[in-house]
Amino acid sequence: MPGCSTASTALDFSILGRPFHATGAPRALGEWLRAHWDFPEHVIAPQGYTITLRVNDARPSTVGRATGTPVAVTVHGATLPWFSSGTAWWLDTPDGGLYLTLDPSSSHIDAWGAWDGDGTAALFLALYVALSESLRASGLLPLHTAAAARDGAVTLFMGPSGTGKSTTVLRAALQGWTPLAEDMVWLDPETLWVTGWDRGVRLRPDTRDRFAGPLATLPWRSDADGKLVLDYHTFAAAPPRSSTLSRIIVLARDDRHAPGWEPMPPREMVRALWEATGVPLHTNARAWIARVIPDLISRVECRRLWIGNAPLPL
Amino acid sequence: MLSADGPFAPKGDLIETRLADEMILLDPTTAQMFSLAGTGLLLWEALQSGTIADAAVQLTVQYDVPLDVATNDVHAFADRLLDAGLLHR
Repeated sequence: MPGCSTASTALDFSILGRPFHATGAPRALGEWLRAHWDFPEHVIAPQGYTITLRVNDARPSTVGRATGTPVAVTVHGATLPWFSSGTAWWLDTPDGGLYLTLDPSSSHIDAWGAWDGDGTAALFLALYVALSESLRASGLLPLHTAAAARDGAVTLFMGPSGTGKSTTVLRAALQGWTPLAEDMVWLDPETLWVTGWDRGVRLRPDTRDRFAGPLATLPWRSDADGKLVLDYHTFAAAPPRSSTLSRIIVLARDDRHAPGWEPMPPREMVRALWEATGVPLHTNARAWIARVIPDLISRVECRRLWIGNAPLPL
Repeated sequence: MLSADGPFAPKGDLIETRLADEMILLDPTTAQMFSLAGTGLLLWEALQSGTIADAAVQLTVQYDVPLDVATNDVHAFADRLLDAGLLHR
């Protein structure tokens, strides 16, 4: 029976201060949850918002069937069709499905299906979406961005893939900054507390090879996808993973352009922030982010940084 | 001229982000963004609360423009928003 082929377990840990409890998770799912969502090193005040995951052997009879037009969510190149009714969202894949309910103080995820087969990638992506929606509902904003801190103040380095976020963080680290993230952070818009959501800088080997000198001798390790990873504890024994946001930088790459700073018009900043956070499933979350973005722009310094071939003016 | 009399409703899933003097519209279906300011922002709001005639009157109050010219301008603007799928009847 799907989901019963391996021992299941209960999991209890905190995701960004939000208590998380999972039951019935088969081994493969438990390992995935630990690897991608359990960061004991995060220092965040405990929050009351709880997230629960219940893994079932079969689709619960209470879960509705697909009706109407689905909301398509694209994650890591895969498009997932979600259906909704009120504050509940669900999705079916050939290997299983998810049912997500978002309440003001908690979220509940029911999952069913196989979690250890070859075709379960869509299920894991769906769970990634459901957990992200839960964190959004708890008042956190995900941002696809690199981040580094200096003197306790965080600077975000945003931009489309390929703009140079990871290499900018590395260059900043070489100039004494503390790298926090190369791909994603979670931001509490009220407190401006930023938490990095990865464990090291990842680069393609050819990109790493462009860094001559000190970086080449650091202990890079190979990841499953062929990229090279430099763990943050390379830079410090207990590297800080969170701090307070002070600046948002949008990176622009043009080898003909001299490196330098320029003002960022608010309308372009709105676009950059929406692109960095993505459009959530829930209309309540969309409305919340639409309120948060102008407030954020008014509270932190926002600028554009042109990246050329010359050293960055960090 | 395509537009009806109004009022009109924004596209159901359209996301509106309001800056001090500008509205940024994000269509999540197409990932397109639009910016409205000045007259465009005035009419965006007016077309959702009243008719084209009401919006034209508002335009004459805010700007020194005859009513017939304002009415034509509002019709043209409403048609552009309808064509873009940002508003519907």
